[in-house]
Amino acid sequence: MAAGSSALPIITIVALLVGAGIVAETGIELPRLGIQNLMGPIVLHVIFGIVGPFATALIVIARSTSGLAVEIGNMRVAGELDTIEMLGVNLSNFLVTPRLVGIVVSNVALTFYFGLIAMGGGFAMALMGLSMPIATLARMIETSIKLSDLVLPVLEGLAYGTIIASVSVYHGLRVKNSPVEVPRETTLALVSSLSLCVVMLSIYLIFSALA
Amino acid sequence: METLLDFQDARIGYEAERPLFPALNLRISRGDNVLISGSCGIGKSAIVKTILGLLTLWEGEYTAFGRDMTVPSAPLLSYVRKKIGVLPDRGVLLQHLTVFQNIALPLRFGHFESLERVTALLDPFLEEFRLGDILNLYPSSLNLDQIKKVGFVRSLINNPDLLILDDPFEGLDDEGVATFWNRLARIESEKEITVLALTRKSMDQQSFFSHRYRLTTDGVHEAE
Repeated sequence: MAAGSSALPIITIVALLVGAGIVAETGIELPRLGIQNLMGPIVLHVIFGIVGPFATALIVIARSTSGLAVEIGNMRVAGELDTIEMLGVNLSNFLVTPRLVGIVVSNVALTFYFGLIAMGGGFAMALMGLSMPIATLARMIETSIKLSDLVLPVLEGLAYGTIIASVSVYHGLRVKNSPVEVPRETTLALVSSLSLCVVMLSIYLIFSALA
Repeated sequence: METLLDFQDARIGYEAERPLFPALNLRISRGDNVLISGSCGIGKSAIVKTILGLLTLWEGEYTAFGRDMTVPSAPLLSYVRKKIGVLPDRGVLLQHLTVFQNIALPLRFGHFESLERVTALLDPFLEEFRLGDILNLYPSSLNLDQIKKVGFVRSLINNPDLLILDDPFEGLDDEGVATFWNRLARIESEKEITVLALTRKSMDQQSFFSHRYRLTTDGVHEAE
């Protein structure tokens, strides 16, 4: 959970910029195409359904994957994991599960937080950059919002969080006895998390387009 | 007398193709304190890990507390580990936990005892091992002598049937050694805990041990 709360500053900055960028792009391009009435659903879908969960996952990967893999890897090298087991303590219950749950829950919460802050950035851009009344954009979003716009980010956050946490723990536990294995497994954890999240995003985009 | 551990022609080691001993034969009975001495890297810690089910038994037989440990199930491992207290080589405390949390670890997460119960069980050890001032410190603030003491208390606090001490006196100052022996003397007088000590150096007060063995690449042999 601490990993989640400490990610708030960077999430806030990225979300504000991303939200402002998305609203600027849609606010300028959609009127040219004559479909400015779709701005609300498009902004919602892009921020809450696609960019928000994925950008949050990227930040969590950058911050937590390496931290978790290094922590568990170093515990293995120092003999702490063996000691936990020797003391009759279940390694999964004591060490793995709390970290898995922490990262998954944090990722879901951060995904929602990202979406809300990005909307704030979008409103600021609409007001200051596009001279669009906030009420207009708010009405567009209000009339187009659906339950799925709120459920999907939760599901995506769960999926991304599960991928990140599982991969990090797996690579941390793969360290045997040598300290040189820790950076190697950490790098593998980062690359694997990133690759699997991109695969997950692609699958989501394909299926959401087909649905 | 009840047999706590029994190895019969056991091939143990980190890899099946490279066993540390061709055949390990060792029996530890309740009340019989055992000393195994051997040089560095001979396989003392591997024996400890095999006893606790961390290393695979490649061949032979091994029973712990009357249960076959050849291919132990998770519940059996948990049962056996909860009956054993262990002080690993170098003490090994968890760096992200305080001293109190380290000592409480087996009780809180192995035996699921309450904090009040842990505090009550820890109380008799506080003065004896001078832990009062360091309970809230993290292991990085401790010297090896303190780490060993904390590890020793952690191994004893759940009143195990068998206490395994892997190189217990390495890193202790003279006062620490005396503290350990005082506690071991009390253990011997109470006759509740059996001690298995593994050491790389000669040890004073050898009379504490009913059986003394020398560990070589061939296995364990009665020491003179």
